[in-house]
Amino acid sequence: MEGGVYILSKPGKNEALHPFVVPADTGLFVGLLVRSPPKQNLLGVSEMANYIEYMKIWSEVTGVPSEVREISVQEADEASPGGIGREAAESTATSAEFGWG
Amino acid sequence: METGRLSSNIFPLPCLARPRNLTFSHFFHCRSSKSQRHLNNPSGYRQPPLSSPRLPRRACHLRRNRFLGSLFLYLLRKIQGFGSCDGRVCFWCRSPGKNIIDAADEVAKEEGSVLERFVFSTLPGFKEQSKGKYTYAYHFDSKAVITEYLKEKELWEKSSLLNMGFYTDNMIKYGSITGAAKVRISVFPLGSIADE
Repeated sequence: MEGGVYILSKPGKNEALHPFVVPADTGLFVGLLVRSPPKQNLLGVSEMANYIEYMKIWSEVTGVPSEVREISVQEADEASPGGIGREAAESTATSAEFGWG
Repeated sequence: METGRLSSNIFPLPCLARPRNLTFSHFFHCRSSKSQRHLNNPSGYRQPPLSSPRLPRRACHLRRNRFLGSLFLYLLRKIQGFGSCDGRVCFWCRSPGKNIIDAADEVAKEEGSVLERFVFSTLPGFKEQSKGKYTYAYHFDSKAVITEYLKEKELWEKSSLLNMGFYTDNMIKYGSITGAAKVRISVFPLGSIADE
């Protein structure tokens, strides 16, 4: 789209690192667990990145400029009402503020 | 859950249609059966429950058990009502996960079982992780509950857990839910406004 811009609005600090995973990498992680002793608890990560880096790659690939905005959980809830927006927002917020344990 | 069948079983007693007569004495002070009522009351008029003749002891138990059974089903349906999968509370969504664990556990228990490793895709409970600050991450919390269930099983001895981070294609698949929007900037004489 000419003259368009992608805007990603999400809670949490823009600089916060999140564990991003490419779905096609699933087999690699499962393969590792199959060859390892049992009772492992693995966090599958393709790359740790913040959302600014994430959207930078997005713009490079699509050729469309992008922007990342910090919003509150409540704003995200109002943007996608019915609970699903809040669920997605709180997942991102927890990841940004508390990490994955 | 067969809601239709459940609701037809709730209070299957005929007195439900006559709320005027619906008292606890109907259930615990047994009423006469249809045939007995006919014998004892040939006039056909319904008698007040307390003055109606008692049934033999065994039939009385049956009637009471039927009431307790109905009460149980009624409560079950109430609980189910609270836990409807509307995106807010997903109480019953945990059961498919538990069924997977149960099925795999059966295989693991078989003699000479071929199961070497069970890898379960899980997520950390974000309610606990955020120390109670965020309680709407049901996707995460449900997985954590199922994982606890797995750890109680014999199957756990052959299992490992895989937490997948945020999928890189979430933004393509879920778009606006993840907060993504494509904005077209149209230039008008009075300035620029964003729409769509």
